[in-house]
Amino acid sequence: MKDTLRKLVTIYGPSGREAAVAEEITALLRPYVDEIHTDALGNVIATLDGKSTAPAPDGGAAEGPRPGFRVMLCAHMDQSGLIVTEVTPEGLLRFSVVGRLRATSLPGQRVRGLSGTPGLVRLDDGVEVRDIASGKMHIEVGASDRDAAMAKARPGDVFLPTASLLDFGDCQSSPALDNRAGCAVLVEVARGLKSAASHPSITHFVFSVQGAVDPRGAHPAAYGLRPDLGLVVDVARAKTGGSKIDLTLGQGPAIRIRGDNYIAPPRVRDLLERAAIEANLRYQFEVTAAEETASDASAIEIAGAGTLTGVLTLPARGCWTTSATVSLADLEATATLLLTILKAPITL
Amino acid sequence: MLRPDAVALLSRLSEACGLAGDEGDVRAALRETLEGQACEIYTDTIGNLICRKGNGPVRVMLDAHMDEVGLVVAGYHDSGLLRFKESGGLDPRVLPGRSVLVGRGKISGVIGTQAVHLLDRSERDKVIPAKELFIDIGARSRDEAASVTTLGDPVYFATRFERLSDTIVKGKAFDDRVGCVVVAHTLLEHDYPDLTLFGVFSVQEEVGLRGARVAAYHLAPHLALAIDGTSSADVPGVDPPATSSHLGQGPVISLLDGTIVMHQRMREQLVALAERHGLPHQYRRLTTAGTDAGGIFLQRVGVPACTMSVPCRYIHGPASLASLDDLDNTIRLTHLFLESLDKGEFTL
Repeated sequence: MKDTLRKLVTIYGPSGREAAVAEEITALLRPYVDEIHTDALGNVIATLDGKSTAPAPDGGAAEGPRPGFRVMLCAHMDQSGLIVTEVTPEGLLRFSVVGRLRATSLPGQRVRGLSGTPGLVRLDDGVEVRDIASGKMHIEVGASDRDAAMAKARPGDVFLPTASLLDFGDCQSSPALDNRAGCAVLVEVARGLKSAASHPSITHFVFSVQGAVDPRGAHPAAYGLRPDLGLVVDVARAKTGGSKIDLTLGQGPAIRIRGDNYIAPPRVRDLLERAAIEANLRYQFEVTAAEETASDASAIEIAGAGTLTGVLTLPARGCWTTSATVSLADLEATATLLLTILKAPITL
Repeated sequence: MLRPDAVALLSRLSEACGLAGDEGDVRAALRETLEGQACEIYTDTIGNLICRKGNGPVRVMLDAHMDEVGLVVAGYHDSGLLRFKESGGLDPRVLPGRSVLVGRGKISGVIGTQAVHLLDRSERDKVIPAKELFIDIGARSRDEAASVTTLGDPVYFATRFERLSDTIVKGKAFDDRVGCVVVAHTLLEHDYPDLTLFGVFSVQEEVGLRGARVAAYHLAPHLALAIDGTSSADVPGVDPPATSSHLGQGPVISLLDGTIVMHQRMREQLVALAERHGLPHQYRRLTTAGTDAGGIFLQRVGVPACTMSVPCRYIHGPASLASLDDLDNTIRLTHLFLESLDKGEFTL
């Protein structure tokens, strides 16, 4: 898991510019799936056909598992970044945040553009702490006038916090963990399923675009796949003291009961909890519906004629700041939970 | 220089009335303009006017919305004054004292407020919230007002179209009648044998990008270009980074807005064509708000989309200003883009 995570967090992939991440994920996933492609918007969609040691269930049965049950696992692969909107006569870059990054975490942050152009986020002169906003900062690229700056960056270029993985042991911290952590879990699930004796459902792995901004790419992906069940893996803010957030880092994946524009269908909630108990995993519930809890689930649910959808949340300290911290044990447990569900016939 | 008939069409469309849900007048004017011009033309179930031209393999949606911002009648005071609500995002600072037209009968009225003489000094400096304003149509009682208007009647700004100079025009609803002119002009002037071009004049953009979603769903285009009118705040008191766009500096190409990160290669193609042909162009420095592209790109299995706009001053108010040169250059760049698709110079 750590190796996969290490690979994924260093790739440049802001919202709307996911091609490099898509390429790496495609390479990682290809050995474990039957088919993989990138759709019109850039979503990576992979499929592993079902395999069962048990006799095929009766297709005409109204109840119980049916042949061709389709599960869509989904993690957004983009990350938040800073998009250049203007180059000033002084050679500074004005920017706007794409996705979710708290402005207070930005000043002093080292950033890099697509081709590795180094930059430094700095507050404009005279801005007080209480007035911090992305409109009152600039990116310094070491240029003293517009022409020099334009040689390094142009409007539309996106800068990201310098990619790195801070290794605390079990805990790992990186700017891109929202949501490369979820992507790494899905890669592990694919690896695990490929070698499993039985995985009766057809499993689709979707790595969606623009999910760090809003639930977006997942919608057309779900429309095309028409799954019977959607399962989203995403990070959300774990408490760091004093807050009403109910997620705790290192206490296992959270089954989201309520999130932004989302309520877990009871059947999906039960499915996830049964699997956690069966696999003897530590798990928690997430009900606060904090603003960090927007996820692809709300898009998958309403695509096409509708899809029952669940969310497994990876607790992340510092979510929506320039570096989030997750626990590898939480990631492993999330993969195990999903594998437990997918190795058996699914009954909702 | 823009052709006189395009200016005449802008004049006619600007003075036509079309609140979200009441786009009939605008639709009729466009239908009359386009009828019999080698297009298949029809109105879909929710009121979008669709003009299909050509039968080529590449399906392109060229979109502009017909609706404008305004008010609706929401109740009566005993004295015969009308209560109102806003339809679409309006700036309450610009409402008091405006002449308006109420209902299908276009009854004249004035947006009234307390006389300035009655306000104390501190009140004079405040913006009066829209809910404290009313519309005065000269009725002397609730019954009289209700006999000539109905709850839900649309209310329009009574603004005449005028040419202020060779290049600058003034009128209401330039957002998005400028876009309607671009799309209509493109359909009238050009043939693209390898495209199936859907000119879409959409409904209800100002209240949630509604019509364009429906159109994109049933037309299933391969890609979409939305043409809109966007704010140009190049006036005293606005910091350069906050101006969004500049009147007279050419078509405004969006990097992203609150609903979509624009398709990168489409955006780059627009910029490359503008540079190659020496057309002025600019990036939109504002990255919030929404355009039809955001509704279109998530339809079905995803539609690559981008927004290009004509800069307009004082947008979402009673009267806006636009440059005919900007309009002309937007028409040219739209054509160059479609031509590059038609000739296969640009593919997805």
